[in-house]
Amino acid sequence: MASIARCLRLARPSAALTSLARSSVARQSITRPFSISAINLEKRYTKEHEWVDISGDGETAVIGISEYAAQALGDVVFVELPEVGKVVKAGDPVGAVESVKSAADINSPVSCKITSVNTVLEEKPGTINQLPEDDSRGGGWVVKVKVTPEGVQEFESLMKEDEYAEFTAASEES
Amino acid sequence: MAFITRTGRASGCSVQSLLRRNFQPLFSPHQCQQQRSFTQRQLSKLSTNKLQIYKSTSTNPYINLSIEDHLLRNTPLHSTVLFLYKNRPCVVIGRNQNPWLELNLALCQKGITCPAKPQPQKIDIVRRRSGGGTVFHDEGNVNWTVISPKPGWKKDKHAEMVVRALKRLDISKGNPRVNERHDIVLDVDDDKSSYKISGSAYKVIQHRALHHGTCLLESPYLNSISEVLKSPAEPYIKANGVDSVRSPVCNVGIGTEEFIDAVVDEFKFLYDWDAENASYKLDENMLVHEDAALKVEKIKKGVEELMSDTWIYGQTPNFIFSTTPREKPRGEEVHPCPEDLRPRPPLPSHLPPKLRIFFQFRYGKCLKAGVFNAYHNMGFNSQMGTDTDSEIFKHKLYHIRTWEDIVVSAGALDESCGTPESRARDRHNIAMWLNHLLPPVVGTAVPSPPDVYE
Repeated sequence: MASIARCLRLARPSAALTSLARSSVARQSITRPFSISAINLEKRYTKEHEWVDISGDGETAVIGISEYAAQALGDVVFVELPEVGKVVKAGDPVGAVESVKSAADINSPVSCKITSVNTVLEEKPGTINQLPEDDSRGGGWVVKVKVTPEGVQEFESLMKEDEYAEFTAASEES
Repeated sequence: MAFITRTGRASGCSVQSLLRRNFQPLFSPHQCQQQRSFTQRQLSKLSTNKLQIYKSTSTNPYINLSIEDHLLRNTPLHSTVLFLYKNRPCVVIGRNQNPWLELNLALCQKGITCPAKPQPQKIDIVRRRSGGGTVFHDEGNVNWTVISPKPGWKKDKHAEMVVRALKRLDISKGNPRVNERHDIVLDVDDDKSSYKISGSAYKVIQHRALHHGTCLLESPYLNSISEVLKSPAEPYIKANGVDSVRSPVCNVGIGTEEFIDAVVDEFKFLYDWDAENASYKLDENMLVHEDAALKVEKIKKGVEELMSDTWIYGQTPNFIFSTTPREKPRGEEVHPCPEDLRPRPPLPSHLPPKLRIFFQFRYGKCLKAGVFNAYHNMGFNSQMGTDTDSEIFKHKLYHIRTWEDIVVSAGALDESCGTPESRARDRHNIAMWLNHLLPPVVGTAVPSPPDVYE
């Protein structure tokens, strides 16, 4: 079961490549028939514009900032990264981005332990503007983490892709 | 006359001794009579009011920034908070800046003077938590901070508020406005130029946004600012992180208390204070004293962190120091250096003419080092980096007491060339030059908690 989910995840195109990848409807229809547990493996978003993507094992995940946030921030000139091994609760900072005189925290969407940080951002902070939702090598993801059981529960309550799109559209209008 | 820029040093005293130092009331006696003070209890358990105003009587930058951070993290999520304070002479670098690049560290330790104050005044070195570039503060500068809920928050909103406060004061010198960098400039009619009078910086956390700015009103040290914000190592350092933008500055030419009152009035008008606070007990005349503030555990911890050398110096992003234009160091793939191909100024004549020095530091830790005397054509074989026992790798940059200790241990100068005397003289001269460019800062900051980055 887990291995099938992992294969699906590998087959998924990078978020930066195509809008096809953003079609959560398409992905749902593929993943659901195999899904026995309550965990739906779609990428989820927070109201503070972070994303988290849990992989097929239901435990390892990647965290970054959304394309909406990356645009809104303007040119990112520095990314602060956390120490590997740090344990955080949902809402705790796992780094910060500096752009246009502003240091803005990146908050963890779920409770987790940091397993690696994207050192590419140390030298090329602009990557986070260009490929904010790309979790591949060279992409703008921020940290890789091991999600706690509590974090898996928190994941379920976050916004799905379409809900997040509605949320950002609404905040644009207001 | 630079205001915002690139380069840093720290004050050397404990929290306790800070209490005894330089205490100057921010507000005049006649005002204080009408004003009450926040108790430790009120500062520990902050008001739930929607609008809140705090004024600090402390001029200690570490305490004021820690009170500010306490307000950011602990005032209720729906509240909007105004905080006003003045600092004794200090330089404040942005969260992700490099003190060796932004500041003349030796001058900060030695102190500056002005006609009104001929005694040298030491300058505190502070790394703040918000982004942006380096600014200079003294008692002629007022810092204003607005903390508000994140939804609907705009970068220019509170700079515009301060501009309205300035316009209300009828400044004869020129016309204030917010520029494209979110700073406030004064368009001076006389010479048709714009001078920066206020710099902005921001810190955004999960639900709250903090905007703080300076306002240069009657700084006695105006003419020393550019000297303090000019590092002798600038031609040799290439740093990750944030560069400052140099701008010409001027004093607005009004009193600090006049300005503070005008900002309070505009804040109250903007947020309809009278309607909101009709039934509240707290008023806008409450003062924060540093003795009450330091009894609040979170504020005290904040002061200790801001004063620690691991924060001031140890939070410096990756940078290289090199005396010759060169490319990335070899074998450095995980944390490659930025290239620095700028032409360099000629070396001082008392140094070996073909001397080349190269260092890479990340969070104060030396990753690569080399001191070579190219007339011996020794290339990389002579770099300190090949000898991991070298002193440079045993200390953080900010723990070096003198460069003599470091240069003596370097296998840099070929023992087959010159005489023992000439080699000793060369080493001494190199060490003195490095002491000038990357001055030891030991003892200028308090002992610190374990390093965050290793």
